Amino acid sequence: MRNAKWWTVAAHEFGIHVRRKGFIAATLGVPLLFAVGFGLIVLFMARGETPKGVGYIDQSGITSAQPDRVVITDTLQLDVPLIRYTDEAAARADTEAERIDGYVVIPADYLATGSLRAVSDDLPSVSKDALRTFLRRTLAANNQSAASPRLSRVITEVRSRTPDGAREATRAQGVLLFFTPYLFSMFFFIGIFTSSSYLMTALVEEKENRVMEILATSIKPFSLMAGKIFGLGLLGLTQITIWTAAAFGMFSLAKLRFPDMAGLSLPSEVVLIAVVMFIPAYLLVAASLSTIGAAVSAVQEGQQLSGIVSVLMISPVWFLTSIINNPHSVLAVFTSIFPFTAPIVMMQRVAITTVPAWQILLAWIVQVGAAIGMMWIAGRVLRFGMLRYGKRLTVRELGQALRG
Amino acid sequence: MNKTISIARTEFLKHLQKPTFWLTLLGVPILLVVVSLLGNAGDPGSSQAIPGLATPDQIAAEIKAGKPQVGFVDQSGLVPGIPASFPAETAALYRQYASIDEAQAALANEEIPGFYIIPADYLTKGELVRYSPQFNPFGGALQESLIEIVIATNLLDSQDVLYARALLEPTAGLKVEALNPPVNSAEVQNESVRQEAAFALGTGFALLLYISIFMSASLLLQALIEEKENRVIEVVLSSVSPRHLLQGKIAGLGLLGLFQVSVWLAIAGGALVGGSKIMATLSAIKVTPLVWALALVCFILGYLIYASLMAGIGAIANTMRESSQLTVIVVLPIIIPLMFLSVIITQPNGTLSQVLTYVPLTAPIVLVMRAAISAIPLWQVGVSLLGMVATVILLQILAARIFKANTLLSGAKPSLGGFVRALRG
Repeated sequence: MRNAKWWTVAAHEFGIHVRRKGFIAATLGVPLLFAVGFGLIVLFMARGETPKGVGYIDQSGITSAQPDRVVITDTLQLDVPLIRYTDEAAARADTEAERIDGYVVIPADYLATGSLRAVSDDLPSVSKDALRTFLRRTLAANNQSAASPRLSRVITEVRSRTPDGAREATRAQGVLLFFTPYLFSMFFFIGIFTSSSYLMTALVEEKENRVMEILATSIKPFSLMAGKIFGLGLLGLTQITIWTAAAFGMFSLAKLRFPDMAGLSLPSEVVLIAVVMFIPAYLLVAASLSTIGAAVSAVQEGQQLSGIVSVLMISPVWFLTSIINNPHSVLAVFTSIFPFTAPIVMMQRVAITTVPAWQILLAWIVQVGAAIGMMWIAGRVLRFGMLRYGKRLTVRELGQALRG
Repeated sequence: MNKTISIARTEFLKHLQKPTFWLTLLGVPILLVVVSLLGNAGDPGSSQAIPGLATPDQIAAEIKAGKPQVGFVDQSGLVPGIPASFPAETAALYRQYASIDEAQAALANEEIPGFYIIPADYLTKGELVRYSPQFNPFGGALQESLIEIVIATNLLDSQDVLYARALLEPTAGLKVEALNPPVNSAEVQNESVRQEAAFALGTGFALLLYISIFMSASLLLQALIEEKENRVIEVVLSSVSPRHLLQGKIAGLGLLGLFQVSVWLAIAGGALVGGSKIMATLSAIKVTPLVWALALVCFILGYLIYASLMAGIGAIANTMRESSQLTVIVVLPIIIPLMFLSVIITQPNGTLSQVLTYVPLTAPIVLVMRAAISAIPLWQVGVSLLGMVATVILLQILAARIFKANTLLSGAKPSLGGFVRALRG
C-alpha cells in the first residue's frame, strides 16, 4: 500500500515534467546548442579575420635565403603573405595605407636576445601565427645538416605511459581522458540540478498553495518525498542519457570524419565511475534540496540556499588544475571522497592516474552513506516543516526536528 | 515621482536587511578566497618556462630544491648529452640514463618526476615515449619543452642553444607597438604576456557584467513574482500606478546590484594587491578610468535592458516555475558572449566581436571586453551605445504596456497569445 503511494507520486512527477516544453527544449536544445556553438567557434576562429599580410625588415640576415614574398597557409587554409621591406618607412607607409596589417623588425641581435619589434594597430592572431611559422621554417632551413627536416617539427607525438607500462595514451587520447570527465561533470551538474530544483520548487510551491495540506491527509511525508525524488531522479537520468548519447554520437561521427581520431577510445573506467556515482550523488543533492525546500517558506529563499549546495558541488572545477597537477595530493584525495565533490573529482582522478581501489570504494560508501543520512534528515525536516507557513525553520527547530 | 523613489528605497532597504543578501555578498568572496588558497596549496608552481626564458630565480629555486625536472634515455644516438652551449643551471635540470631500467629505478625513487625515451626511429617519425605517474595531457608541458630544446640543439650543426630557442619559439620575444602615437618601446609588454593578461581581464569583465546584470534583473523578477503570489501587489497597486511601481523597483534593485558589485570589486581589489602574481599578469594591460566609466555605463544600460525584459516576464508569469522557463529565453543572448569568450579575446576586432558589439542584447558585455583589451574605434563605441539606449527606451515602452493592472492581477497562464494581447494593450 505504502509502496503504491510513492509510486503514484513518482509517476505523476515524472509524467508532468517530461511533457513540459521547458524540459524538452532543454534536453534536446542543449546538445544542439553545443554543436552549433562549437561549429560557430571553429568557423569564427578560422574566418573571423581577413589578414592582409605582414611586412618584415630583416636586420639580422637570417632570412637572406628566403624569397621576398612568402605565403604561409595555416591549418585552416587561410593565406598570410609575408613581404620583405628594406626600410621601415616604406613598411610604415603601407601599414598606414592598410595594404598590410603591420610589420615586424628583426633586429641584428635577434638570435641572441629573441626580441622582435612589431608595429601595428591590430595584428590579427592568424598573422602572428603565420609570422611564427615563417621564422621557424626559415631558421630550420638555415641549418645544413641531414636532420634539418626534423627541426621544423621536433616532437610530433608523445606516448605517455604509467611507470608500470600498463596504460598508454597518445596526446589526443590524453586530451580525451581529460575532457570526458569534464563533460560528464557538466552533464551531471546540470542534470542533477534541474531535477533537484524542480523538486525543491515543487515542495515549496505545494506548501505555498496549500496542496500540501491535502497531500498530508493521505500520504506519509517520507513516501511523498521518496516518490518525488524517485520520479524526478528518473527525469534527470533521462536527460543525462540523451545528452550522453548525443555526445557519443558526435564523437563517433568525428571519428569517422577525421582519420587522426581513429585510434581514440572512450575511457570506459570513467564512464563506469560516472554511472556508479550518479545515483547516490543525485539522492544526496535531491535530499539536501528537499531539506531546504521543507525548511524555507518561499521559493526565493530556497533558491538562495540551494545556491550553496550547487557551489559546493561545482567547486572542484575551480581547483581542477591543482588536482590534475597533483592527483595524489591531500586536497585531491579529500575532495574525491567528500560526498558533494566526489563524483566530479573521482572521475577526473580515475581518468588521469591510477587510483587505489580502497579510495574508490571508500568514496562510494561515503557517498551512499551521506545520501542515506541526508534522506533521513530530509524526511524528518519535511515532517516537521511541511505544514509551517510564512516562517522558515530556525536552527533550533531544525535540531528539534532531527531529534524527532 | 515621489512614489517611485519611495518604492525604490523600500526595495533597496528590504533586501539589504535580509540575511541571505549578506550571505551572498560576503560568502561568495570568502568562498573564492578559500578555494584559491586550497587550490594553490597543492600547486607546485605551474611554471611553463623555457630554458633561457625562465627567470633565473625560478630555475635557481628548483635546483636548490634538488629537483631535476626531467630524465631521458636516448636510443637513437642523436642526443649523446647536454650540449656545452647550455647554461649550467639549465643543464642541471636533466638526468640522462643509459637504459630504461635505470630510469625506471630513478622514477620509483622519485628522483625525477618523469622521463622520456628517444626511440631509435625518432628521426623519421618524431615520436617520443614518456613515463610518468600521470596521464595529464597538459601537465608535462615544462618537461616536454626541456626535452624539445635538448633534442633541437643536438640536431643543429652549431649545437647552439640560443639558436634552438629562437627556432622553437621564434616569436616569444615579440612586442607589438601601436602605429600611432609612437610609444616608448620599453613600455610595451611581450605579446604573450599581453595575451595572457587580455584573457584574464576579458574573462573578468565578462563575468563581472554578466553576474551583476543578471543578478539584479533576476532579483527584480523574483520580487515581482513573490508579490504577485502573495497578493501584496494588489494592495500596492491600489495606491501606486503600475509604471511607478516598475520604475521604482528597477531603480531600487539596480542600486542594490551596483552596491553588491562594488563591494565585490573592492574585495577583489584588496585581494589582488595581496596576490602579487595575478597583479603582475594583469598589469600588462592598463585599465584606464575611461574603461571603468564605460563599464559602469554598460552595466546601467545592460541592466535596464534585461530588467525590462524580466519585468515583462514577471508581469505575465504567475509562479516562479512558470517564469523560470521564460527566463531561459532571455538568458540565452547574455550567455553568447561567454560562449564565444575565447574568440572575442583572441580576435577583439574580428567579425564576430564587431557584430556582437552592435547587437544590443550582447553589447554591454562585449563592448566592455573589447575596450578593456584592445583599442576600439570610437565610432563603434558610439553606435553600440546608441543602439543600447534605443533598445532601453523601446523596451521600457513595451514593458510599461505589459505592466498594466489587468495583466498583473489576472491569474491566466502565460502564453504567446496573451503576451501579444498585453503588448497591443
